[in-house]
Amino acid sequence: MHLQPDVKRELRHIGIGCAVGAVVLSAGWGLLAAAGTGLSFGPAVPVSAVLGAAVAWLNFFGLAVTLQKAVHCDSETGRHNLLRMSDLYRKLGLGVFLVAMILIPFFNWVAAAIPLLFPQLTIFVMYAFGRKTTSSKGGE
Amino acid sequence: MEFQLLAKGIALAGCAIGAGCALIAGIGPGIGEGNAVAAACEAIGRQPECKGDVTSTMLLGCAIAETTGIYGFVTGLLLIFVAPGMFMGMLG
Repeated sequence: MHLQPDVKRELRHIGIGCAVGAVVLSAGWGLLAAAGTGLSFGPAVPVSAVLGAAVAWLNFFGLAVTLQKAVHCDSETGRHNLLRMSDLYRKLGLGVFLVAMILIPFFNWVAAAIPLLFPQLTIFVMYAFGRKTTSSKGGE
Repeated sequence: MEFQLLAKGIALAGCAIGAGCALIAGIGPGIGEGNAVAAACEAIGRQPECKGDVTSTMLLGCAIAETTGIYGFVTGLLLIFVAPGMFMGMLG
């Protein structure tokens, strides 16, 4: 499926935000551990953070593809079914990922769960710093 | 001994009920996304030249709307997989 340029641009922004967030999370975790707060820092933290950020970006990608398809869908029933199935599969994917992070002892589930909200955080930052502006004129 | 057993049972029941309540948060984003897409389709139909802007804004809006769903989902999973172990450890 061909992605619209605007959707590609948002995917790129969210991808950059997730990557930066994973680096900041790992660095912050390391600093807190070095400051003697009782947090343990090891290879599990950056690996879990990067995996969490990747899953968050994939979730956003799935949302983007679904919404683009839904906009082009003619029937309302088809649109509802598309959104419902996408929501189900994306939530299922997130659930499997989180359960794997909790059950596999190597990974740190806190470091994996925090990046799931990086796309939303990126959007807040984009709006807060005026990075995101609309060019539409409005009106009928 | 019986008191401990009762306390463990109550803690487990609380975790299960809490997880169920937390997952209710997943209903809202679904309804919100449906409404957003319906409104976006209407807007694109009215002004096809604004398709890119409308799609982009709708995408970001839907991602924000999903936040509560993800919070609820993560909380529910933690109540199922992490909290019972912690309570059992605390109660001996």
